Amino acid sequence: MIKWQVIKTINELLRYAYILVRESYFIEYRTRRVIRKSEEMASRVEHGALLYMFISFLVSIVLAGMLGLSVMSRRTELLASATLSMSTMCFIFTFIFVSLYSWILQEYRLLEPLRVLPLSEDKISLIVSLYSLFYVLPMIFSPLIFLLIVLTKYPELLVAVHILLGTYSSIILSIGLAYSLANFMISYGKVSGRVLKAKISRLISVAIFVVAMFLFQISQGLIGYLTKLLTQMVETPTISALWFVYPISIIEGVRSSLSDLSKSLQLLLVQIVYTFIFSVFYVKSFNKYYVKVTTPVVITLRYEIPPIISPRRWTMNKLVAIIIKDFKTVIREPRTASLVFLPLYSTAVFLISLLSAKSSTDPRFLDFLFAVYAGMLIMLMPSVSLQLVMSEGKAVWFSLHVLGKRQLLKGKILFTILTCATYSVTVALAMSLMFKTLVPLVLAIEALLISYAVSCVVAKIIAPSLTPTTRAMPRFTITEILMFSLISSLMTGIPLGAYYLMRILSVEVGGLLVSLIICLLEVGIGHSMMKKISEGAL
Amino acid sequence: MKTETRVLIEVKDVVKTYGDIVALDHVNLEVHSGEILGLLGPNGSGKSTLIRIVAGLLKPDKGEVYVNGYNPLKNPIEVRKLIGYVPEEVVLYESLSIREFFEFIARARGLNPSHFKERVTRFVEALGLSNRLDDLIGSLSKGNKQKVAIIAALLHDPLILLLDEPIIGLDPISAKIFKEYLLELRDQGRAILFSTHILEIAEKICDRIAVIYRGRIVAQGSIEELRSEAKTKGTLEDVFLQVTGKTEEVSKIIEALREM
Repeated sequence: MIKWQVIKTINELLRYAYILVRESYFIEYRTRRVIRKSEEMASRVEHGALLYMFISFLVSIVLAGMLGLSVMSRRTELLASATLSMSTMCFIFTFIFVSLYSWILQEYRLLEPLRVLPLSEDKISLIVSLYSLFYVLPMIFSPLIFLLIVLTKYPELLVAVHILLGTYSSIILSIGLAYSLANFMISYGKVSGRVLKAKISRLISVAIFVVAMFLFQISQGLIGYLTKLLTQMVETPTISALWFVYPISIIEGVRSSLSDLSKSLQLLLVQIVYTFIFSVFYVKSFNKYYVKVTTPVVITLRYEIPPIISPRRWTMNKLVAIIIKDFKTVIREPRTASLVFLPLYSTAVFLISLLSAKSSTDPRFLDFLFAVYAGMLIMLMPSVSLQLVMSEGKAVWFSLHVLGKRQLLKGKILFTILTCATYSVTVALAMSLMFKTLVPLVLAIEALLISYAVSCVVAKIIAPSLTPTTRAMPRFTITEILMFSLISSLMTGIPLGAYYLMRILSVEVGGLLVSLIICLLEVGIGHSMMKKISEGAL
Repeated sequence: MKTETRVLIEVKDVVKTYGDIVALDHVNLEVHSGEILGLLGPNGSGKSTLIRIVAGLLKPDKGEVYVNGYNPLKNPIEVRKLIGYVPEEVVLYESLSIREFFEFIARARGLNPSHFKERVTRFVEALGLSNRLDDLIGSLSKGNKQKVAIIAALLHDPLILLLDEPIIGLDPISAKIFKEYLLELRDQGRAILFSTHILEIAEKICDRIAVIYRGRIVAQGSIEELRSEAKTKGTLEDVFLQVTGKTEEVSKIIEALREM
């Protein structure tokens, strides 16, 4: 009878936890896509969260398998670095997932409907625990898969224990840290818009959201790069001297399991102590998190009247108004931020590939990478500016009422170009310094100019479909998509083609100049097309 | 013939602060069975904080609260069984359909399935949601979400209702139906704590009104008692301005706007 009651209670708690999971998935999904029909929404959320986690699970298993296989045919040092990579992977993925979803739980006040129901605090706390653990699930089995593969090559008990302790203690630490971060964000996130800590916490929360969006896509390259970096680290004497410090203790533990039994046993004890400390930290962080997440943040009005400051004269311009407003939205609203940082994410993928290929001295390969970099920016920026118009959502009528279609589109395009410029030019400058050539920097500037031109042309084409009631990106026909691709390819291909052609003819500086002039001409064309867009709302 | 009433909500000397801001300053009030007490005050005056404390969702810094004799912090489950709560900012599970959400509430409250079916059918018909039962809550308008929250609060036939600005967002027909239903619930002996800043609503449905301003109850009583306290025969708006000491300030503000 008691057993049946326990099963019933567990079933009940799991059901509530899954409602929270489903809700979080829905919130996260809705920030990425515009869903128009209720039936479409219902079918997406029905099993979406489970499917999402299943895919995450598969990815983590594949990555674990890849890491496991990497130790098969190499030297024993690689086993240590692969274990550390595995622990790092577990740590990063768990951290991102738990902090993202614990943030969503508090930000969207998902516990509120539960808190008015006759459920005990213990039950609600267990529901929150189960909810968070759901996001750890994809990582739970990957250390085991990794271990199974490793055991086929190194069938040693101590190796197995070190691997398990190293990876699972990293997961526990990661959850604890994720809750601590969530605590920080809850404490300062809504206190006041003018407090520095509140601003930082908002930035962190948005950054986590953006990183989480793209983590899986960049994970493969990231893990490959980490393995390479850690392999180099393992071999340095400084690292060996700090053998008892986490996470070096993981490397040393695995390594000593194959060579030095007494050191391995010492490290086993060290790892057990770490696991205990991390578990205590996890429990404490969770308890703090739970208290904070169940204490509603009530924003009260201050009785003192804050001074009203006039905006600066130079900001009293429609385009500047959009840019300032969008900048504020980006640092506060994850959906817009993830859109604006889409080219940055692509840049990250590019950078990881570049770092992996750093040893490559083949100039043709580097040329190819620079071209891909510029091409990616050009391909993504116009879509970002259009998505930004759509992200106005229900407010689009207001923007169109006050600003007019041309100003709105132009403001969004300029904002996208300016924000993308900040990181793309920085990355390009770093690349120019690294490879001692101006090409990446000039190409990045050209990419920004071409993006502006392409965005203007595309804006002219889609402008008629933008109305004050627009809620989603217009659905384009295959012909229209082909036409956009053709325009974009032509506007990218002419200047870049001119540069590479002149480079083949060994006129590199001349090539850069010619391509820059073509880009400026394209900007002129784009600008004149932009002028043809209606100044009204329709 | 007046039936005997008992105190169902008792707030004793409650103080709540947020940092250096005093949200509630030694608040005392009682709500009896068969009574609608209107909590009237401007935005940020402490109405929601007080209702949250009564619901056991916030801990007061000082003072005590009893709901049908239970302390919400010491006996949260008993209190939650007794109350139906509609928050000012409604939070619902938007990934659930209306039907799924009500089923969730019914399971969590352990309702009788046939009783549940009957109540849901009546409420969704009354508030015009019958044809939207399978729509996701996320796809509903603000007004319809408000209706879902109201039905969810009423499903278990609570003895006490805590309603924080519940009419906001409702269409006129639903608002009328809901107000009439509240009067019916009052007649059945329920206690209703109803927060609003819309004076006409307070005037129409509340038996007594507590005016809250900057965290303090500045006046309490029936509308007639408030009029006599404020020494005015005017509307509730005049009474409100009088007891909050805002009559002169409001006149000056209107004058300043005219001069702009």
